[in-house]
Amino acid sequence: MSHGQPIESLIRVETLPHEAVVVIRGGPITVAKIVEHSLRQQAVFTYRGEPMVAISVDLTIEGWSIERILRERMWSRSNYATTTAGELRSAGYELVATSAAPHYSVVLPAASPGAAADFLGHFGPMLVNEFRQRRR
Amino acid sequence: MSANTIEIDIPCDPQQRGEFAMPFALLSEARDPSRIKVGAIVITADEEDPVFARVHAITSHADGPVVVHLELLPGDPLDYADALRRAHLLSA
Repeated sequence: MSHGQPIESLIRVETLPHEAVVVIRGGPITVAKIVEHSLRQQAVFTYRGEPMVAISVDLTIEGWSIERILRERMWSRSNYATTTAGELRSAGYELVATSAAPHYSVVLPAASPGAAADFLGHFGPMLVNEFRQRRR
Repeated sequence: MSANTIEIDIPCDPQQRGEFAMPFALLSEARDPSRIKVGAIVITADEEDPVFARVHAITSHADGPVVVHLELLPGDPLDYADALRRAHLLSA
């Protein structure tokens, strides 16, 4: 029995994103940060009655271009990396539409360095966010 | 400002979204939990890209952790510091 908050009330009902939809993860793109953030998700939310180990991503679904996501949602991030919904799904990851679009949660098998490294292994190289609102 | 001297108030993933469609943090992770009140201005996110935020709400569900919901404030924290210096509200 888990004591977290069920995520189900925050799930959007929508069609599965097309395989070519781009999945964007903001920096820092590190194993340590993926573990840290997935542990936080696990502490707060449950999914199907179990602690939800997941990491947040944004997808280029209807109306959300990469540029719009970088400008409006990742303005504080210096770096980001991308993959596709098809790449993650074919590797067995579940993408859950949570909170407001274009946010999704990618369910991870564990909040561990190994699981985080496997997840990041599906992303391309780290890219510079040209739309960041930072001076450094 | 070097990354290894930055001490954020409470860490979060600014991409993560919780029940208010905002990023959230755990009160237990705050550097000084007594500073984390609704309306408080804090430095959050991470040492690489720190961000200003206002504490929007503090909640807990059943036996779960105390969750801090954060409204991210736009811009670089250094821009706020510059504005304060220009107005002589902050010295040095």
